[in-house]
Amino acid sequence: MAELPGAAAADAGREERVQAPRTRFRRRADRFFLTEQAGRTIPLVLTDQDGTIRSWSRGAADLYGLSEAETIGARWAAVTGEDALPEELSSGEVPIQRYETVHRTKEGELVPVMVTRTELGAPGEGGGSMIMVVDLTASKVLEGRLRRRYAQQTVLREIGEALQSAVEVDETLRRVLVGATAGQGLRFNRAFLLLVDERAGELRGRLAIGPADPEEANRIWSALARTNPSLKNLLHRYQPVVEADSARVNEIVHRLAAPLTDPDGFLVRCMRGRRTVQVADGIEAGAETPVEQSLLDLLEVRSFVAVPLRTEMNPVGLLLADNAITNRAIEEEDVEDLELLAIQAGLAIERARLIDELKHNQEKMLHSERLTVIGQMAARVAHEIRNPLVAIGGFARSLLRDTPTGDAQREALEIIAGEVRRLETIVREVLDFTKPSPPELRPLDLRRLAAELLDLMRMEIDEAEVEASVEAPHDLPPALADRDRIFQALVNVVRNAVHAMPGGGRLTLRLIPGDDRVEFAVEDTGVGMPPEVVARVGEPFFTTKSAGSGLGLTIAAQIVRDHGGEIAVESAVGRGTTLRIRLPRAPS
Amino acid sequence: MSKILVIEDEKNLRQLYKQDLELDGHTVVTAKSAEEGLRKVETEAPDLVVLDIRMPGMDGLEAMGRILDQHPSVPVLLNTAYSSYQDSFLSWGADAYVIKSSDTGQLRREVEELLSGKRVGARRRPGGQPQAQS
Repeated sequence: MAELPGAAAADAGREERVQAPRTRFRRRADRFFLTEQAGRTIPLVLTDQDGTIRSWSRGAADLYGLSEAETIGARWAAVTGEDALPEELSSGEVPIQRYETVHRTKEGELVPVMVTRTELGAPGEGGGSMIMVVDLTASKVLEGRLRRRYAQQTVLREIGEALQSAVEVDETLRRVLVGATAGQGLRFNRAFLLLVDERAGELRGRLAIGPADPEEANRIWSALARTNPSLKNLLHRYQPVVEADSARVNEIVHRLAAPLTDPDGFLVRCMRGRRTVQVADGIEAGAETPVEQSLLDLLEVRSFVAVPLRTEMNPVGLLLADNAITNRAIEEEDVEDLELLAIQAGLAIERARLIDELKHNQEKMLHSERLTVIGQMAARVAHEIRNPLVAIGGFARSLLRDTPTGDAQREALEIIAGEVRRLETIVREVLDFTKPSPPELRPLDLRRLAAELLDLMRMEIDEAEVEASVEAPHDLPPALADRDRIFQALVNVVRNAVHAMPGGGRLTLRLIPGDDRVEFAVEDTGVGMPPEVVARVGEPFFTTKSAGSGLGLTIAAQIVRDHGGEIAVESAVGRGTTLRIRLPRAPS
Repeated sequence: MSKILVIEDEKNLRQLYKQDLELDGHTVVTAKSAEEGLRKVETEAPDLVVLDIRMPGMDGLEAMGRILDQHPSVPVLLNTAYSSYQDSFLSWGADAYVIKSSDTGQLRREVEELLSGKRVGARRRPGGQPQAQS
């Protein structure tokens, strides 16, 4: 079954051997527990020296399903199916022997038993044996369960280790799926991973493993059975097989997507629900509501398990698993294992994502730092060249002014002035190249920007013991602005507001729609400013703070003005300050 | 006839500006650093200041801040090698902003306009408070 595309073929045989007696034991175990309470007697048997049964207790009759009449006079070995005892046991030289073996009942069932055999007399003295039998069925079943638990723990630990050592997101996803489907893993036929994509506001299918149909399953599983790789090997090196053989399921998984804002859809509801959902024949267990037909059609299956993936804080995604190929029933134990896997998977995926993001940001920073350095160098060189050029060209021009028309030197001076002009153009181009590009005006959701702003400045705001909030109508029209620059302007303004509240206070970002403008008001409950200070706000280098360049608001004002916007200040000493930034509305 | 103070650390440029502005009939005094320039604003009482931004010691922007603080009515013309965005907002407190060029024509035109009062710098734009105050 095994579902990685796996080991199924190899497992099929093993399954047969192991499970057949187990089921029989289990049936017996039930009976055992039922009768135990009924005060049943111990199976006790007396044989004479050659193993002929002389006495057969009620307990023995219950255990073997044979009456006294059927057994007295028969041979012990023939009745129980117990192999002939080794010589030293049957010789009677050892007075008491205890051993575990398997006996057969009348029905042909096999019973694990513990036999205690006491020799009643020396050979030749007309002795015999007293045999006490203990039915081990129950303890064997328990032992089997414990063994399985232990084996599953080993499996989960191995998968966990593989997840811990994965660094990239894709590799982590692959290992989760291999763990869920491998024959030595959780043995599902197919598994699908969906992840939250915050940026797109979606829960979206990312990767899947599993065969397309029984033929493909056979091919893959028998190939795996031939090489019989260990789980560890599969977890670490399964990649090529996954990509080649899971084309169909990956086609399916890439069509699985649901907006996070759709809490009624099955997928998002499951993920947010924080608990496993088992779907049997299209019905969600416990809910009795049918799952969307479109989803069942897409998955091409009617029974599956959905387990949310999450960290303590955030939903990460959803893991779906099914036995679409073999139709093997999904047992409680399978679900438990999948849940344990999901806990590890959620953490591992989140970790890999964070590492990814960190790397990406580091690269971006390095890149922009390098560009900045190059830009600064170019600007410096250009600057150093420009001054001498101005002097050369300037004096050439002044000489030219003093040189009468027709003078032979005029031509030479004109050439100097002309060439200097050409060089100045080049220098200007270099300097222009290193300056920031013109604003990119796009419709901008100021509500979202305000939230991001508070997010970014959370630490500063919290440290200042300032309570911050955004107030905005739901139908706020978008502004037309360059997101990054407006963000920079707002960071400066908000920082100023926070600094104006040294003893803590309230910061409100209030968004107000106007006819052709959208206003972004930053209100603080800080120290406020007298009118003469208000009049100077935004002057370069004007600052009331002991630290700071005094350029923050100047920069903000310039950025707002570059957008064709306005900036205005209202303030009252002791009451606070409101800075209003008005930006043009985006055309609808 | 007006008195113009040129603050410029490069000797050759000082000489060029002095020569060209004098052609237009102005009296030109020069300073080779921001510090010297600030002193001469007091002693010479110029009608207009032409200011370089990048100078050793105190730079032109800081000098501009101080001049505007003490003598808010004296027009300041920034004359610099930079044409970058950063300078355009830093210089926003100035009355005019000219990019250095071997062609002193633009500088001279801006000087004439400021002196004749035809143009008022952003700093003194009427009704500029609180909107766009800054």
